[in-house]
Amino acid sequence: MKRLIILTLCLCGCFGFLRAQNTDSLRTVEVEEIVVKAARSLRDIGVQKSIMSECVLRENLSATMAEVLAQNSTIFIKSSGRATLSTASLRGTAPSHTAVKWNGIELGSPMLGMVDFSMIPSYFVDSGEVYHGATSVNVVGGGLGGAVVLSTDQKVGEGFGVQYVQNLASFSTHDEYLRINYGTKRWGASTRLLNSASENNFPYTNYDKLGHPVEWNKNCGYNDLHILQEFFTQGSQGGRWSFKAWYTDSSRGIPRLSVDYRNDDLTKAWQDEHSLRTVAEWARTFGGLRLSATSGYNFDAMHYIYQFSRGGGAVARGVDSESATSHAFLTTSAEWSIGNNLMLAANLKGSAYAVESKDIAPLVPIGYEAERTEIASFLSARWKPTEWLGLAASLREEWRDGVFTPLIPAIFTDITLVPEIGLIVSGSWTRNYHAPTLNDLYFVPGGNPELRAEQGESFDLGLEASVERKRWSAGGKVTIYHSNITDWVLWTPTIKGFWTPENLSKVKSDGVEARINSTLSPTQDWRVSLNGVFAFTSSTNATKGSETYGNQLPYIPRYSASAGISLRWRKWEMDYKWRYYSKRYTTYSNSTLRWSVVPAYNLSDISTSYSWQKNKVHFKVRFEVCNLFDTIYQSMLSRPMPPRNYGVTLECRFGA
Amino acid sequence: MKKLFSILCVLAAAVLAGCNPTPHNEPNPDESPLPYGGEGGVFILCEGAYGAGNASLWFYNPESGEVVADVFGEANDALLGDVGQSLYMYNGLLFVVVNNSGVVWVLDRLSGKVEASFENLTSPRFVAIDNSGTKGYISQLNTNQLITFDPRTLTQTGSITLEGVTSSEQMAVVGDKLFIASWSKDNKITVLDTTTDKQITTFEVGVQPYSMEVDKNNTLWIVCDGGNEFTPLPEGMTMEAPSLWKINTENYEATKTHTFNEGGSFRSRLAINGSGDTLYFIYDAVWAIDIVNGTLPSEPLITIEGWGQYGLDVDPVSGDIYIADAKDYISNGEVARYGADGVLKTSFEVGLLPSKFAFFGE
Repeated sequence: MKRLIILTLCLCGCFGFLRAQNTDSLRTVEVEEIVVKAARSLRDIGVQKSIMSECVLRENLSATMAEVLAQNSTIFIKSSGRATLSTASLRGTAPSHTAVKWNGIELGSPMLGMVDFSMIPSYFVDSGEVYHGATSVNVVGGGLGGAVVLSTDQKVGEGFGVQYVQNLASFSTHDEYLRINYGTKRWGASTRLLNSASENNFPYTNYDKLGHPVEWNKNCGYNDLHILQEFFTQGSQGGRWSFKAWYTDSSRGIPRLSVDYRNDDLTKAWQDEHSLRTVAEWARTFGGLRLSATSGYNFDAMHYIYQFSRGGGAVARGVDSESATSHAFLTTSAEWSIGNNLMLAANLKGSAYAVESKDIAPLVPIGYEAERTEIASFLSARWKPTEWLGLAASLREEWRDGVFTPLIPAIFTDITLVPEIGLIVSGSWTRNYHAPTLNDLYFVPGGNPELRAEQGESFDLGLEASVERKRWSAGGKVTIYHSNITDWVLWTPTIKGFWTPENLSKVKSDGVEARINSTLSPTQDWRVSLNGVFAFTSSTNATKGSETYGNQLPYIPRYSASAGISLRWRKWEMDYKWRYYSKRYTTYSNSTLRWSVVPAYNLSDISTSYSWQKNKVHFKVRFEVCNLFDTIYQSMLSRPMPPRNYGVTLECRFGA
Repeated sequence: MKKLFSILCVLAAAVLAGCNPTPHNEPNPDESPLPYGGEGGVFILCEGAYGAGNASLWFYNPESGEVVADVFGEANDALLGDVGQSLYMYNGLLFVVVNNSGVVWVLDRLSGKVEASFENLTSPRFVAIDNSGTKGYISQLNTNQLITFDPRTLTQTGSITLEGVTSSEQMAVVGDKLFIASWSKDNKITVLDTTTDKQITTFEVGVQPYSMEVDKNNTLWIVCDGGNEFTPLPEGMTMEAPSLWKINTENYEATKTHTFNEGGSFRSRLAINGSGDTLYFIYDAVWAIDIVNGTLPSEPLITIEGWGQYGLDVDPVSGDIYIADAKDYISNGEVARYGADGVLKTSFEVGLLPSKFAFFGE
């Protein structure tokens, strides 16, 4: 009944707006939220990828890429709360096995290998692609699970444009976004600013504690500032240049465990992070030949502090860890299209990394400094001998600190079975390698310089179809995959009392990924869109002799699914989003005791928006209810997640 | 058209209302999970991984061989907490210290249900109760504040500031004296008069006094781990080989009876049998030491493989030796039960990182 009342209230608000609206039509043309490619270009032969359009990325100002990926892809995001470390697992692999690029910059920390997706605001991404499995070899090495490629636009419209978005939400959350563009035929500039802040102090019923008290999520406020400056220019000879710089200043509390019985406010942890990512790109096309060069520099400084009470109001720092990572790279690429059915591509990339990490809390600081140099080369050929057959092969070679990684080959194929409905069967295979991180190699104490690269071999087979008619379209894809990862790096304790990484495990991952999307526009006023994603992931310990052989890896849900329905009528739009994760084990033992399992959960969000235009200014107001049914859930054990919460967003946009 | 939109919205509402929010694991509080039947047994504390909140308490009945998982969760419909640190059995009660949750649970040992708790503690490590049964003490790692409580009412009575040390670890009661080890980056033993709670003296032993036991002669035995290269020690203190010390609890004379080979590691704390004449510990193997000379025999009592053996204790009644094996530290551990002669009797699976035991016979 409670749920029905809430829904009714939401819908009443919606109907109230309906009555008030006028009949002037302002039809924003937006692309489908999830696009499943049916007819492929040469570049996409055999490729298994999901595309996140700008429409999806602009749904919610306070959303980061963690939320966008969780809703719109088969990636599982492991998170300990809002604005806390959110890592990705793709096809049942570790967070470091999902490579991430933003405008050509690899965002994976050279220290830890993984990316915190909660630090990437969705408004700083204009398009996103998830490359599953073997397909990732085409864009980056080391993505044993796949790769996430994020980018911003390569140009701005002509003239002056301003966009301002203000979001106010529960738990004292506010987000402000400003984008200013100016462009001519030859050049353009764009500035984006985003400030996100929240006390994030939501109440929750703590079922982990004795007596199940209602408590407040403590010490989890955040204040993030992002600035992105972009310049674009078109040279007189046809070359295109761009320069992008993204600065982040973040300060975040680390929420306490739900089983923490300390009431003092002195024991707490927090993290400050500053990062600067700059990238310059040149590209030019000479007939069928496209040449490009990209160079960038990425700096990230992080300060993590764990402070504890010594009693009597005194405090001491148990951890006072500072790290600084620098990463510079230069990539040159060439793509040569020979006719309509053959494309050759090559690129060469040089990268240099430097890391300084130290913990100054101990009486004598401990830490390490390390550097790494990499050169990676890539060759590929894509060929369509007939209309119904596509073949592609690629070869990647990496040289790292004087050592060559074994060749990384990959092959891809497409066979079009029924062109009228875009029925295509596709497949790919690769043998990939993931280098140990600098922490794995050099962390003090415990780093193991003798570690080998993790090796992954994966196959996948996909079947897709898409139909487009005047008033409706539908598409879907099912992919099955199998992969083996050997020499999986695991940190385990030693008899000396610290942990050290070793090439201990073998992991076998099998699964099914499926997605559907459909759009129906019965009249010009109406449009209904549906999309859904499903994943079955069996990611198990395949280490022979291990007592947990065959068990599912921790924090990999066996089943996950998401769906969305969007209903648009004239200037009104209503969206409902749902996602589901099956239970996750917290250890390799897969026991069903309460501390060994994080229960399955369903989440629902609903929103309604209204758009209008006045004096060339476009307005949009949006009301959202997240966690509509007030589900009590955790993504990680003992880490509370927010209850039902609300947000209102007002957007004003003018010009280009 | 508006009507159509309204109908669609209502239909959507009906569909959504039919969805159920995810139910939380429902408790079953009326069923006691502990089938003791008066037969006694042993509690096993599994630390769990730091920061993961997955510590757990298990029970083993040696007569029936029955193992009861997650005693605390089943009896109290709650998680035990983060980093189970130590157990202490006293007068029908089981004290469970959960370090990174800042709590000490006091359980009825027959039902497993919480009788009382001491919360908001900085970093609790061990519990000790004096011989009069009127004063209890909780040591803490991150502070020199020793918490005091009344074991009769199970209420906190205050705290004692220990002078000259920065932390407190394992404790031992001898007569009216409480011996308190300061382990972390220290080398001191503090002696407290339990009748007045005044500090009698503080004396030095080896670097990082890690564990202590009292034998039948009221001699205090202390193992010092010597520190390690990655835990920097204060000025004037240097890393050294682990050592075994013998303390006269009357005059506080401290004698180093054995220096262990460097390169090895203490994996368990000291344990003593019910008759108080043999000490046990794991130093790369399980050793049994006669309290007369306090030196290692030529051969260990039990040789062990791997390096996950993380805890050891001795049943004071049967003399059986229990060894906790954390195995790979990322999956469930195992407890092996040996006879006093070192012959394996049985083994069984428990939770993540088993390390401490508490016996009904204590």
